[in-house]
Amino acid sequence: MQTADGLFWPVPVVNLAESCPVEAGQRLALTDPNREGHPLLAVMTVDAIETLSDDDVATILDKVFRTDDPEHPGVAAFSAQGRTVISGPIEVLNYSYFEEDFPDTFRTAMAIRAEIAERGWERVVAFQTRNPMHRAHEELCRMAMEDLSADGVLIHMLLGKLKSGDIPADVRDASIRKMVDLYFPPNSVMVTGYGFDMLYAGPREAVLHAVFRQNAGCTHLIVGRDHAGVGSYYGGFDAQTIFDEEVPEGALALEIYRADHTAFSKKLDRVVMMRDAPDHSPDDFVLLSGTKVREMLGQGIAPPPEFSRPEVAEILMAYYQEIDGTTAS
Amino acid sequence: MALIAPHGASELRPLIVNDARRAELEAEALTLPSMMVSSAAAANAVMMGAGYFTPLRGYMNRADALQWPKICKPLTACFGPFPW
Repeated sequence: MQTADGLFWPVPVVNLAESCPVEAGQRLALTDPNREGHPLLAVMTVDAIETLSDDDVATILDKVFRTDDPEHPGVAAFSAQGRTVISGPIEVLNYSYFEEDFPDTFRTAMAIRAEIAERGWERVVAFQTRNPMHRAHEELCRMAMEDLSADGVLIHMLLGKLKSGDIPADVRDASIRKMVDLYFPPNSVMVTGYGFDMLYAGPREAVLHAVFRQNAGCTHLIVGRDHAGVGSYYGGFDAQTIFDEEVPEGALALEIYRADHTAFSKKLDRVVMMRDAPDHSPDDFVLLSGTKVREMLGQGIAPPPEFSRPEVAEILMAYYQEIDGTTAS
Repeated sequence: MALIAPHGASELRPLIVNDARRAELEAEALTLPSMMVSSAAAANAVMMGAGYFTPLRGYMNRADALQWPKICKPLTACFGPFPW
């Protein structure tokens, strides 16, 4: 593997199992746990079969997740796998359920590069999301585009199996596409997605995000507060400072765009980055909690236009009212 | 107009196979032992297939998986100029 030759790679990319059914040097069929009937996903030539020691596991948890708390969802997912490391080259047959479940949104890095080239973009900013986008996110993309003189924004959604409370992909996509159609100039935004299991590794995952956005042809990645974090495991800007502290110079060609939370300022009558408004108190911003927004949408009450575009709110309200089984009067 | 280079390579190295190779592998797989991988390992395969994890060729061994955190402190001492 090239990592042993000095390739910079931020997280272990491993196949961990309880045991390996073949010996080193043999071929192994890998089947898909996430599709019905567990069809073939890849074929592997097994180079080595090794075991992670307790120390190895502790090292990985500490470096990747900065915690060994079993309550951390990334730690829990990692620890639920076996300790046998089955390594070697693979050939991949398909993109699991992602193509079928998200046909309008799932894109390979190859397809995104091709489309960027076709659009004639050179400076491209990636925006990571897995949720609908409200004004704060929309304006953040616009700020990054302007500050970086970028040709376009790649909205790049994490696609995956739904958890309870998640908005279905089609609803989320429709609301994002509506926002792009109405509020961005033509040929300035691409709406796409990729299939991965989120690690919730915060800073380390932000670096992984940077690596694979570079592979998708992006020159910049927006990294905001608590990027890819969960709970209170990471400091607000750890996902930015890791690029200074732990990424060797020259290891990445992509640069990050360092963002803070954005919100609508009643004083300035526009969305601002909160760090740029040090004289503001929380009351000077239009701030709504996720729970509050969810409640309002379910009751058919549109959040204020400073928070959500009305056309976006309309799509989300229709969805929530349907699942709540209520109708707005 | 040149796009930014992929990570550690001059071009993307997606591990997805073409239709002809897929048919060969499907036939071969019938003769091979198989294992159902974890969801995380499957996600890694999808990312390698789709070119996002260029230039990785497959799953890392133990040393590779531990290398960045364990050996490379400070990291810049471990990774000199890139040969690509």
